[in-house]
Amino acid sequence: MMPLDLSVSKTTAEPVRRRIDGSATADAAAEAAVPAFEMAYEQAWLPVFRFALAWTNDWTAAEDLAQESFLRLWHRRDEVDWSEPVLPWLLVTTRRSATDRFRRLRRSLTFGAPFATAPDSDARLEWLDLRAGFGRLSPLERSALVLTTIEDLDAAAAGAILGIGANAVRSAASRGRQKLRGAR
Amino acid sequence: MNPDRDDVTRDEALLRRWNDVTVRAARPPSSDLLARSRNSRDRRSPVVGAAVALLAVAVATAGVGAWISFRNGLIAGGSASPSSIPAAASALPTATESPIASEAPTVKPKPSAPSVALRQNEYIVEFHRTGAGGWVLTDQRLLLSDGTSWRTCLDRPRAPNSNVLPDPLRAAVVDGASIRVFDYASMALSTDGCATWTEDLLPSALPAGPTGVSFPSAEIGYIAASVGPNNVAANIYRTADGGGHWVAMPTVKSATHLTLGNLQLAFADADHGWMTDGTTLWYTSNGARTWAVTHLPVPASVSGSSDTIQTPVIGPAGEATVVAKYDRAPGMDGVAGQLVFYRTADMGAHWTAAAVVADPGMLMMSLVDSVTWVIVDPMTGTSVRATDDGGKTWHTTAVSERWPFRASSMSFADAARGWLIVNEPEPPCPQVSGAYAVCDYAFAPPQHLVATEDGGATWHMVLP
Repeated sequence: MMPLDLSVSKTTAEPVRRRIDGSATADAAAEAAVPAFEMAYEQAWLPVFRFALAWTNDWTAAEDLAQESFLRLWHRRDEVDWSEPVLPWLLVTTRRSATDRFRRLRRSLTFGAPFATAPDSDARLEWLDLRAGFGRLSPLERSALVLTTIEDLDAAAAGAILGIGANAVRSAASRGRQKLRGAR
Repeated sequence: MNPDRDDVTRDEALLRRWNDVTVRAARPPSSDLLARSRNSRDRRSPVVGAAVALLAVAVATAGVGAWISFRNGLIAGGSASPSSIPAAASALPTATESPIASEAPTVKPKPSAPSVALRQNEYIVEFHRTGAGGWVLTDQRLLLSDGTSWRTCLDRPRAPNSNVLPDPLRAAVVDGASIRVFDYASMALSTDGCATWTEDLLPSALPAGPTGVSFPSAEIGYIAASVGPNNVAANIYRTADGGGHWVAMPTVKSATHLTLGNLQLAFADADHGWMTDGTTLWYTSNGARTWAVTHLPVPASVSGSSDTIQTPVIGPAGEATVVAKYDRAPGMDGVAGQLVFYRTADMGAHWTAAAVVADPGMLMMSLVDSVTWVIVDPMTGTSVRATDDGGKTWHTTAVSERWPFRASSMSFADAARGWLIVNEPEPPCPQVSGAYAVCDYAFAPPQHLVATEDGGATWHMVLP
């Protein structure tokens, strides 16, 4: 499995503080944040997408959620302390977006053309074979299981992302594993 | 082959396939993402317009037209700024931003226009009407009201140099200017009415913080949470210095060997107190060193088995009130049964059934003190019943201006002044063609706080 390094999106760019710190104007901060954002996007997109997929069990929704999380990061680029990891923020944001109350309405309001998805179409089709099995799990059970087994986070770190305690993570992951055993 | 081993192989294989497949997901070029960002700004108006239409349909479908007049009267009171929220969702339309209200008819001014609003995804953890105003603890903030306006007493701060969101708030104790707020790991204390705060760590054995908190005095306090595998044990801690240090008290095992629910505490003084997980009531008379299960006498007129028990309300002289529900399907919500109001005048040595009330299934109650109780059937919402003599007599107030949506819990300061939490219904699931489900999300319907000043005859919004 591919271990998930929560510091993966910690960039080496010069930290750009908020304007209240007096170290940069908002425009300058936003400009300087572009390469840091690009680096974060390159490194953290897959973990964010996979977490969103674990939560939603829906490939298209996961792409949508990952996109939304990075858009939020982009809009806040002049506020972000780029010397710190942004992946935890992205994951929590993704989870919150997924539970957002207007999420379902917004899905039918998606603007702009969809992303081109041809390169991963095989993976998407293969994933459909797995979808039913993982569909037996709740979003929390899937996410806890994926974060602790596939992404190799400890229960406390996974709990910080999921907004629950470590014991609750272990419990959810255990339930998820039991349900997977019964999946055909 | 060992069947268990076969099972392990199957779930491991599924997880490996999940990993192998998803790691091949294609990352779109960042230029596409940023182009979409620009498009979203350019096309904001039609999107908002469509959102208005869909939301209007959703609201109309849910049959909550009354909500429009409610909300219209509230928007003028302003809304919370999202700028302090480190969370996501600031770009999403919030309840108070909904343009639905602008299309709504004018309603008469309400006595206390709300000055703050619940944020998106912010949910109420605990709330108490204490007089003209009261306090509301959400997962993010502690809000205080004096009956005319709200102020934010504590806002969950974002840790410096960290992009990880803070833990949700779990419990609060508000005693005049002395305020305690608990999250997963710490207790914040203000002794000057929210002006300044100190913070003390909680015992690490409570990884998700306390669910039950009781401070019978400024120095003596108790916290509790069910922890461990399957939550069958209650971990209780006691402080004698206002929360600076916590001492672990003996663990209490589940009386039924089943999972404990949310533990709640109610201490009358430093030594005497009750704990309940919603189904069992324990009592201690020695400062949580030992606990005994309280067995409440069942009146002859009551049938069925004990189902739920409310957290006791304690009076100043050793009297207390607790309510138990009896029905024929313990463990199931919404089952018709009977509520028995129990009273004790000797710190729990003897309990007597003071009143029995038929419960159609979802009856809500607020125990103001040991003799003043208010009950509402949220399913009908046609009347509010109250007693101020310990259940000897009940007076009924007809509801003339009802609350919107579905009421879930309430808190009254006296028989006239109360708060009620209402929950919006889930929006309808859009039908999207194709193989992908779109409703497979955990979902928390938005909440609002409504108030009455006249015993429940009329209700108005205080926290949209």
